[in-house]
Amino acid sequence: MANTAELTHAELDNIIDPPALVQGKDDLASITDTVCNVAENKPPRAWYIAFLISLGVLGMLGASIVYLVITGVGVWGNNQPVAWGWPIVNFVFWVGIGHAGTLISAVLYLFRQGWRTGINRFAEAMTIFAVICAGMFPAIHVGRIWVIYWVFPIPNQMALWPNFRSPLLWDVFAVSTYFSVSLLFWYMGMVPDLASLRDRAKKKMSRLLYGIFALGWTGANRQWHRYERVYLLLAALATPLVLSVHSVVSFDFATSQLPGWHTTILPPYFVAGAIFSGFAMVVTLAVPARALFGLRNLITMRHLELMNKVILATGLMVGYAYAMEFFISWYSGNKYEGFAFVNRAFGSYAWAYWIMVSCNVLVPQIFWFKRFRRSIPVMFVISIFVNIGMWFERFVIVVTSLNRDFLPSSWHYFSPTYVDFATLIGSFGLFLTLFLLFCRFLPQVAIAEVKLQTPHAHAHHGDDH
Amino acid sequence: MSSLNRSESTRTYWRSLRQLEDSAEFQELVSKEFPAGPEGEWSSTSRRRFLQLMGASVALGTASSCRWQQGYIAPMSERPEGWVPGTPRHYSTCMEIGGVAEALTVTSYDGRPTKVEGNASHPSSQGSTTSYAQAATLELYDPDRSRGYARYEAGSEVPASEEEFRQFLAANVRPKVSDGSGLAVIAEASSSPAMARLHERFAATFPNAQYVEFEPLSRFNEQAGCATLFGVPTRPVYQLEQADIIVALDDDLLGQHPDRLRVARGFASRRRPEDGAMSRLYAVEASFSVTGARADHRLPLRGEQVGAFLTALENELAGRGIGTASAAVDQGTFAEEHVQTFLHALAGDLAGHRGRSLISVGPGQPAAVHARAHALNLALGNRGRTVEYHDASTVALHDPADLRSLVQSLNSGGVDTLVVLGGNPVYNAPADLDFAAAMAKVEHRVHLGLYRDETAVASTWHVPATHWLESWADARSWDGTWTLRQPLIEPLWGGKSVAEMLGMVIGRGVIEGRNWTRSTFREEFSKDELVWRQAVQRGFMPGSGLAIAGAASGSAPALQHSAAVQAAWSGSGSVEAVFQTDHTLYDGRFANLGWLQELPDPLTKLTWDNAAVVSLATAEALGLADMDEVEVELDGRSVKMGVYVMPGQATGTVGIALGYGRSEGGHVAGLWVDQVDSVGSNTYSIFSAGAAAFRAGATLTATGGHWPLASTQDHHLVDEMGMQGRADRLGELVREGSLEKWKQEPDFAQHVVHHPPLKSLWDEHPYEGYRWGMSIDLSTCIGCSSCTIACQSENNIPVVGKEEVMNGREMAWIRMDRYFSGDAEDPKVLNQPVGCMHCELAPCEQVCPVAATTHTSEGLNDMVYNRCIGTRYCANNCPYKVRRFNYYNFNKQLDKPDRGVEKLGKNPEVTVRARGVMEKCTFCVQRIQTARVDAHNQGEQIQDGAITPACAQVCPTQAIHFGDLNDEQSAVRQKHDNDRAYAMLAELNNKPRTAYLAAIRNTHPDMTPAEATTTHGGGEEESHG
Repeated sequence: MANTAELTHAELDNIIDPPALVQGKDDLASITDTVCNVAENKPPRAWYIAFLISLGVLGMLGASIVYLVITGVGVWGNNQPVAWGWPIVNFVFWVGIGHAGTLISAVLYLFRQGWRTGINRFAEAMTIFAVICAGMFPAIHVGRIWVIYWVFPIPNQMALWPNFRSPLLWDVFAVSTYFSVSLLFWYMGMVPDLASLRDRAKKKMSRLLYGIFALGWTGANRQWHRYERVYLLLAALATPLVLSVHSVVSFDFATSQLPGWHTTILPPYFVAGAIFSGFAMVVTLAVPARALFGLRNLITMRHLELMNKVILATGLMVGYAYAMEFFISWYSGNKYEGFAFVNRAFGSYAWAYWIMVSCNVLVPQIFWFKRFRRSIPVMFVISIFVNIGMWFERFVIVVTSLNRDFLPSSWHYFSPTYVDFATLIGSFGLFLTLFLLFCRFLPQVAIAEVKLQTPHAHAHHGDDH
Repeated sequence: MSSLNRSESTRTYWRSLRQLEDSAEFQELVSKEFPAGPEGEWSSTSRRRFLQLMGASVALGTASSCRWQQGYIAPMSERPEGWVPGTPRHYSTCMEIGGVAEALTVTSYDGRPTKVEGNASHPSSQGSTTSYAQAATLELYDPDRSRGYARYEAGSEVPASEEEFRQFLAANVRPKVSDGSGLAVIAEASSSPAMARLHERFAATFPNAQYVEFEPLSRFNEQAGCATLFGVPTRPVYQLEQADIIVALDDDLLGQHPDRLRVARGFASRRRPEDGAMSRLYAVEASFSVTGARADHRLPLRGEQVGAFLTALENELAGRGIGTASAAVDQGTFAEEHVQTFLHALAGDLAGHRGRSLISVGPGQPAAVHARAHALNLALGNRGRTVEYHDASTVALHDPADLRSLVQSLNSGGVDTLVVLGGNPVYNAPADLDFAAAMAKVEHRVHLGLYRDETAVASTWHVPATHWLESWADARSWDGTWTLRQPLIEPLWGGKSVAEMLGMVIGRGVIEGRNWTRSTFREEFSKDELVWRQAVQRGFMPGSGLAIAGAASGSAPALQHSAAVQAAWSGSGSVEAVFQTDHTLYDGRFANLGWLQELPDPLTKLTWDNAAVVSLATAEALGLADMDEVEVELDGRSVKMGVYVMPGQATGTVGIALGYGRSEGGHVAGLWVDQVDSVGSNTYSIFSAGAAAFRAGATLTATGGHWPLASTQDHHLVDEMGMQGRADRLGELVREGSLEKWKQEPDFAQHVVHHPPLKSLWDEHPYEGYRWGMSIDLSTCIGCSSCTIACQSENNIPVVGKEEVMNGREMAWIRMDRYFSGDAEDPKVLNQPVGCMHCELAPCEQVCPVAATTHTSEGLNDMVYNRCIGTRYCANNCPYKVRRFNYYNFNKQLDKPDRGVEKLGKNPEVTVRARGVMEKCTFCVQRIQTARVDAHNQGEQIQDGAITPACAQVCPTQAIHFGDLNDEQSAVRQKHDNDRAYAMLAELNNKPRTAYLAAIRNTHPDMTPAEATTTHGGGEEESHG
């Protein structure tokens, strides 16, 4: 075990005074029990209900995709000039959601923020599933999905490569890299816990499956040593991705010459927005999950409060970006640019803009008050507001910029169709189905890491001090 | 390639490459973005590589049975001499509408006509075409065309044969009507000498038969008005190239006149300021027309006020010593100041340009107004200069009132056989005649028609007509030039031409179209075979125009106006209904042609509908809004329509286009028996026979319903802020200025937008060979939208339907942008055709992830359909929004067996695009390639003018030029170097290859609003000079 880590935690404990990150009477064994019991015992009835609903919604997604592929992209509301509609909005939305996981896992790990342990597994899983949802949208939004593989640089008889100048191609690389690193990171961190599940498994099948994925983990000192090294390396690898993925996604817009897209502020603004929405989604999911699976002592009020602080901070950044966009569009003296932003706030989609501002900038201000920051119902409601607001942010960026660009003759209103709704709602079905499966079968909390945060883990150090 | 590396020979190869590395030749190859081809990569083939390729070929060859459904092509057992399969041939022919021929040259691939162009040597078309002619191939291959004889018994349709029909004629018709009593014929207007000759035979056979020519829309009033002056039916032929001052009184000279191609060309010749003195166009009209949109000054007046305006003008001119005052009008009645100013300015201009002015009156005005106007033309000395009056006795249009007397005899039971030779009177006869009821009283009702339309189902016998591309005939153009119609294809579904049908009715021998036309020609012109052959090849007989009419002897009757006429509409009371020919469907005969249904009206930009067009003030007074369903009631009859609020419609009027609301039009226009709803409303149901096309006394009542209208320019939803944004940029996008401004600063258009120097981050392509470019002269463009249809025909552009137009998914590659500026009640209109600009630094190319849109070495922005995966990113990044996406398989109907005939009309040179790919204007790349092959075969460079894109070819005003920008002498280069040339949105540094030439308006100094300057506020929009 890395001494450095222990030392750091000790130092941290001095800096951040309790409330402890693990509360209650949990000892090392009971933590394992708490987490593993979820996977070992029958889930609560609520899980079944939620899973059935999610499956139904997932089915709706499947049906709408089948309909889409059979009929054509015209089943959506996309038109000329709004050639990108909800699918791209949803894509950016989900990629944004997928940000918190890596941030919590990698960046906070590197900064030795011990409080991450309660929620990191959870957030990482959310990342994986959100990126799956995100990746689906660009794939189904193209006109000819059956040749989508042309975006990959596969050697072919036509000697044709993708166009490396296209930001969409950068997207392909950025998102797929992010996905693979996140997946690896998540899985890597889970190996010791999978071994615990394997060791505790009573049924042959679970023993076999957990065994395969546990990769023969025995908890040997050497294994722990290598594990820590790899984890650190992966964390270092993943950290730049937190910045890069959403920056690259923002390039789709920033490098185009469309007024409203063509702004240099987009990369940092997108990253801040992504963290904002990602944390909001973690709160949205963590609040019911900790209640449902009895993890209140592991995902504590302190965790939630810290996340709410992040939401408040990134919300302010996003608000700053909104204001700065307006300032720059005015300051540039470019009439098209100026119009694009005035149109956002006061044009035909003003309602969407003000929903965005209300949800993302105004509503989170309530977190200045500790009372609300620590109130479960308040944070749950606000996290949902933030999710809605961030979806609308992407809607505002994509649709309002496109619907009125340079030539007024081409201006056209965009209205979504029922298939747009079915696909968006269906993507939540996909997300929740995967998430519920994760909750049911995999350790939701990083057992090994949480143990480091228990008073037990620090007890003997306390003597040293 | 790895195997090559190991072999000895490969090392030699690498050595030689090193040697090459330093050579200039190699450096050049490296620096080239567009290398000649992949030969180098494949030419050195090793044994292994050869076996790999052969193996793969064999494998793929054997797998070919897994491919798509196969078709078989049977070669000709005897190929006609000189026939090269796949090579287009061009034939001269003509199309006749309303008794006026339009001379055409039709392209045919392997025996199937695919594209219609104007006959370049014909004096009236001079190479241009109307939208109607462009859409002819769609009509020819329309799957809804009648495919055989039919009998209608007790309301049901029974298939029949030609033989049965002949028996029917022999048994039931000819014995009964031996001298023609009891026989009536309704024909369409015809200028054909062959038909005239046949009609003589008909009249000789059946002396007591009634023979009526009926057209719902014609210029009969003009002919009648002139006849009061000249004593004989007279036709004015205009020479706009001679006219300094043009006055169009309720006349859409440029958009609707039968001779509009020549008229527009003449007009355009005086609208390029650098080519000499510009003409000035005044328009006085109720509904906005193409002419009104192009006019330097337009005065919206109600239809009934136009005559009063003319009288007031006469009085003004009489004050200046021209003509005589007309006593009927009190001078002070046009109280509005702007009308007074307009009158003064106009009268001054006319007085100052005697012999160089022109007054024309539209067909909707009563004959007396025509007579007065042409008397004024004579008084101004315009005859022989800007207008010539021709004796139209041989091609005289029939009085539409003839139909009234026929209906009377139908009702009185005096007719037992009615033959309708084309036309669709059940649908489009004036509502007050109740033609359908009268027709039902006839025992034998025979209909000849292209479709089984409303008249067909009201008949007892239906005979399929041949399309004009399938049969022989002749006709005369507006100036009377004899023009030949020759078929390009055997009749697809059999059928008879009008002459052949009339011949069957006469029954004295078989009339065969070609022989009859030929023999008429022999009588009319020459017995010489060579002359005939030359005429067939040329398509017309030069110098066969109408004779000039004698001196005017008659005098025009004075116009009577009630005092109320000149008063402004008070906002209450009755509204004047102004009926107009539809810009795209004509009288409704083209209603089943999707291209024309989807062609936006040049002014309203409406597709797939006619609407009750009212001005903002009228709408406010009547409490109506856009897309309200409204019941228009006139003379006790009513029709439901959608409301369209149109700036510039005369206040107190409702503009109503005819030609919609078909119940038996077909699967596009409406076919009630198949549950296909009508497109638009049948406004003939409130259109009564009368002297004029306007009628006061209409009431508009909102039903409370909603009537969705599909406009390609989204004016409905533009809010206050959008208006402001549009106003701010309009002057930069569509640049225009007054003649005065141009004289002071000819290159003013190049100084509208100020931007930092446009630098490139890299060395740009040199474009050493050809450098294709286009220019569009906004000064001559009249916004007629023919280019859109020509492009659609040339490039196999699909029709998407009303719903998809409302969804904003129309596919036109070149669209006609229309903007308003100035006062909402009396706006100016700006037109701008927009196609792909083929930017040198194309924003679309950078963002395509699969490089499906790329640049050629000649600067074309190519679209590779096969490679496109449909991300639509290119469309987002195109600042001109000219890219079109196949949201669905818009060509799906081609796969239906009963609609497959449509495939024949597709241009074989152009891919029919699949679902999910992007498309856009290609600068007609197929025409460039054809010219390249031709030039290559000749061993020379492509000459300027050898390539004409479809839009440029059809353009009646030659506003569009195309060619090589590297050629200093090319027409397009001259245009690009013109002072008026500017690039739209050049500040984005896209380097568009299309240059616009600023529009110049020749406004009257008294009516020039403070130099069309940047006065913000007030009006709906403003423009920058």
